Amino acid sequence: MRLPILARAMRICQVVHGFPPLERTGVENYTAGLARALARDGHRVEVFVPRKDPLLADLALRREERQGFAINWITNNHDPQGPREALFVPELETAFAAFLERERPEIVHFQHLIKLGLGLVSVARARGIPTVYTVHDYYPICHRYTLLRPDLARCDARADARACARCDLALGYLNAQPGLGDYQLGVLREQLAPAAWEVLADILAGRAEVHGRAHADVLAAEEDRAALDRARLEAYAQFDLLLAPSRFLIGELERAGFARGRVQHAPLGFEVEDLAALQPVRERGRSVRFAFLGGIAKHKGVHVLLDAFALLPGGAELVVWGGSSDAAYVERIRRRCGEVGAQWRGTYERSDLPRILAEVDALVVPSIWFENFPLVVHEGFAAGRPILASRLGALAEVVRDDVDGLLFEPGDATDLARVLRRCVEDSATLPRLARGIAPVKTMEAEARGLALRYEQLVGGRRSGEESTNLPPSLITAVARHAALSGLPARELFARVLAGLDQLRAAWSVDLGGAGAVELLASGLGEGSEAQDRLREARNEIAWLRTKKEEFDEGREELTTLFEDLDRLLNETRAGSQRQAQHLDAAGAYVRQKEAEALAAHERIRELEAVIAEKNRYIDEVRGHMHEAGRYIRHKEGEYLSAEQQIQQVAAQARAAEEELAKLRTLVETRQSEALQATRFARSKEAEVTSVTAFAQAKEAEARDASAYARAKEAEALEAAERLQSLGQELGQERERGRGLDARTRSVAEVSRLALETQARLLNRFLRPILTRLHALHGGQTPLELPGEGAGFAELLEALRQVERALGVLGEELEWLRPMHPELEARRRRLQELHALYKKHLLLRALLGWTDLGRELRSALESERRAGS
Amino acid sequence: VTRPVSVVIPSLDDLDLFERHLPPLLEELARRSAMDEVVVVDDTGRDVLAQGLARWPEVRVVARPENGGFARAMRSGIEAARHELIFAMNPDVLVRRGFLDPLVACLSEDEVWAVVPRILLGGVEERIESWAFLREKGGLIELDQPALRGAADGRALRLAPVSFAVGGACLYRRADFLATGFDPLYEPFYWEDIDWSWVGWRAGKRVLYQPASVVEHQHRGTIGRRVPKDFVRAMVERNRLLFSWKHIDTPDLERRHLAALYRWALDTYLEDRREDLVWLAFALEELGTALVARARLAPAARSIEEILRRSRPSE
Repeated sequence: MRLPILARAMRICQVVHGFPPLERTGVENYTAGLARALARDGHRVEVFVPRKDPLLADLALRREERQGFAINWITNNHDPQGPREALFVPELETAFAAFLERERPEIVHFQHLIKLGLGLVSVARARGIPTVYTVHDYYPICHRYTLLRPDLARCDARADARACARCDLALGYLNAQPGLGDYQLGVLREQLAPAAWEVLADILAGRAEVHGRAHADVLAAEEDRAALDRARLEAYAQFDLLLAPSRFLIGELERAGFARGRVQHAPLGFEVEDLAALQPVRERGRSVRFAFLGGIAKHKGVHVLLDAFALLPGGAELVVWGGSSDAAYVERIRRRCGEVGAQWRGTYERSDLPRILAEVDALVVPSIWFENFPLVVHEGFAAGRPILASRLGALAEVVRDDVDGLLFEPGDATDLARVLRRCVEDSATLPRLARGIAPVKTMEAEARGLALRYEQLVGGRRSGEESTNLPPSLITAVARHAALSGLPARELFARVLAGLDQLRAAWSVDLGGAGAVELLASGLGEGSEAQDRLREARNEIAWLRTKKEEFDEGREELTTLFEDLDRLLNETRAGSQRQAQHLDAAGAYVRQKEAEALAAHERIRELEAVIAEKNRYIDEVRGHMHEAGRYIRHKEGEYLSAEQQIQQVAAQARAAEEELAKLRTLVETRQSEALQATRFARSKEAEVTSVTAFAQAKEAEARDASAYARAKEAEALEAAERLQSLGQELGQERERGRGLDARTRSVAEVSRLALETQARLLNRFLRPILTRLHALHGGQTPLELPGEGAGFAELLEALRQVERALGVLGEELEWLRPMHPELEARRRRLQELHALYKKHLLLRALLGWTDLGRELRSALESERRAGS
Repeated sequence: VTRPVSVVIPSLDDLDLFERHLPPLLEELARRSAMDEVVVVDDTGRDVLAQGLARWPEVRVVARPENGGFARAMRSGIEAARHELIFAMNPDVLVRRGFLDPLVACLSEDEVWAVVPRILLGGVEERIESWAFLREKGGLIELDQPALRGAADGRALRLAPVSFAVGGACLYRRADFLATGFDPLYEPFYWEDIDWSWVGWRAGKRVLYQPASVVEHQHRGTIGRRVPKDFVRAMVERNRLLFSWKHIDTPDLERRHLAALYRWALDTYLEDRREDLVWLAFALEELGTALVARARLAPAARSIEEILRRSRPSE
């Protein structure tokens, strides 16, 4: 495999939760190998790792140089008392800040944050140091880092605080169960009593309240978990670079909320060169030898493998190597090995691996959790050993089924037995799979690839920081200062001591050959700040010791007191036990009596309930009766009222009958009236017709008479005017007659004769006119006309009477004229009725012998007769 | 008193400071009528000041072809100066009326190497920056400015010797400067003025503080605004050590100084004061140069301890 080019030498810090030889699982071994490889390439590597050491004070830092790199063990003896304490460890943040200040790494690569806390990321970023995180498991999205529930079922929830809170509650429940020991990630069903297993199942199913958990507690757990999950995501968002060795893991992270593309795929490398020289797997005459190597933990599924092995008929061996702190499970596996004929070998060192693998034909990885990139798979491949693995998580990605290994259903002993049997029965299978194994990425390649990534990040950060506004005369000095500032304190100190030695050498003549130690002693003799602080600390320690002694004395006293109390308690307890037996018997009697009394009380309560029920019934009946009385009274009232109403109605009916009779009479009257009216109308119509004709004739006559009268009036006036003129002439003649004798009398006579003539003329013409007018006027009194030969003045008076009569006659005519259309309409209706009567037989039948019918029939006959 | 003076001002692109500080200076020089001149050294290397200062034709601009730092710029200006008396001045100094005559008067005595006015930091009367002394404490040489730590008294208003003339505002002779000059050991800046004053003291001369002459230091961080603060502090500490290694010349002080350095290194390491270690390492990188400069020193008329004693204010 071609190695990437070498990056420039850098100061690199690796942060991990454990380190060999104290802890030896995958991530720890990988980190150790990476540190070695980076150191071999010239990088200065400082590993920051927590450990427990009761002999050291908390946060004491011990630096240990090993194989070209240094391990900085930070002591943390404090066990977190809950999820929050596990995620946030402020004391470690302070210690990490001091460590970074001293060591000045250019980059910090976190391999894990468990046992360290999320805050370390911010500490590094606050100092402007680029950060990398390699995701080795599910810690960024699962506080248990395995996606396994406490009942060892695989968790399907992602970014679900409620599911995580149930997990917390379930763990709390398990922790309270006695006798489980270090059960690690969870328990198998057989480890718990059935009732306890049910409780566990209920809690995980969200039914914690059923088992006495307050609802508020459950809600609080959910809120707490949601806040912690948010904090976890925020912390991971700060990394400059996130790497994950499998695509499966990347997919799970993205499912839980990581942005797509945020995590880069970077398969890990391993220190496996020593395994490459092993003999390849060949077809053998002896039985096939399978092996399990690694942590003896339940989620690794060793029990599944042993169950499967028990199903094999023979022809195979199984060797189990490994150990863990889960002593109960380890013991169970050891015992089970004996039961099924497998060989239990226990723990092993990494240096044993070539020897172990040399004796093995295939490795089995029967994990029941979502494995990510297990080291043992790559160790097996490096040694040319096929892998038989669960079809689960990244195992199915790393092991190619039927190419370099075989896959089986996780947790399924039968399916695993099928795979084992196939290897046993077909001796060519394993050698064929061994030939399909691809080369394993070495740690050297891993280190160089990572160093190039580091350099990229550091270079990017540096170019962002460089000032472009620096006067040229300052550039060199500023650069030198920056370079020195970046050195670890330890290296600076070494440089300073070397420089001071040079100065001492330059002044050696004046110094009289005084050595560094002598000068240092002299300097310290004058006083040292560090010494001052040591004194302060010592004084403080002395004071604390005094206090501790006082405390110890107090504790001893308390211990004695507690012992006395304990003894007293024991004595009391013994006495109590005896008394308890008596009390038990008495208690049983009391309980029996109590039960009887309770039963009696119960019976009384039942009877009381019955009485109460009956009373309630009586009350109800009483109420009903009261209601019925009220109803009856109400109905009586209604009856009386109805009777009155009936009487009233009867009276009204009688009145109505009478009214009806009246109406009938009235109708008949009206009919008769109508008939009479018809008759009257008809007569009136005839009258009107005749009146109209008469009126028209009279009108014509009146018009003629009027015209005649006006003509005669005009003539009379003219005659009067002539008469007046003649009178005047007569007067003139009389005057002349007086003058004349003979002629005078004759002329007067002539005048008198003339007047008389005029009067006769008037009488002759006027008298018929007046008589006619009087007749027209319909006068009842006889007309008084001037006698024959009446004088002219009487005639004039008669003319004025005629004029007045003509005026009255005109007024009557004017009054009659509007009645004419109405009479016309009535006449038309009668004609229509008459026509209908003639036309419709039904109408004739209906009218029958009514008066109207008879009238119409008579009219019809009259008409018919008139027609004929 | 009327001897002409060349005012030399080394500068980067500090036109904003010139806007405020040149007019009172020119006014004072005009009032003196002594044919004084003003030489501004453009140390940007980009010749940017001439155009900006063209409105003051009496100001002569000397443009350096490249940026060289304070010491080299000052030398360029002094070389270009026409008069024997040089008033070295930083652009952030604001002169008060009549500041120059008392200084010129002091320099009439041959044994006076340089004279420094009463420099008021920020223009505050009590904060006298130039009433400054060196002292030895626990084997280390320290700079003491009593007025800046609130310990000024009546002596600060008397004409008296001081350990050095602050390079940002002081009067000296052109010939003396050109004969010695600032030691490049201290480049790019700080303590070169102290070292130059020390050369005078070693030669048997004196450096005087003249309170009758008053200027204000309107501290705008002419350098500090261009580089990180921790670097400025490191330069001060580095050059303090280089000065010590160049000038400590008595076996006893050498012994005590080295013992103090070992103790200091150990203390700082144990107490996680890595910045002090950086200062020490920064200085020790120039140890060879310092020892060369030490070897080049002319024989001293006075030892360092004597100078420390003589340059302190009398009780």
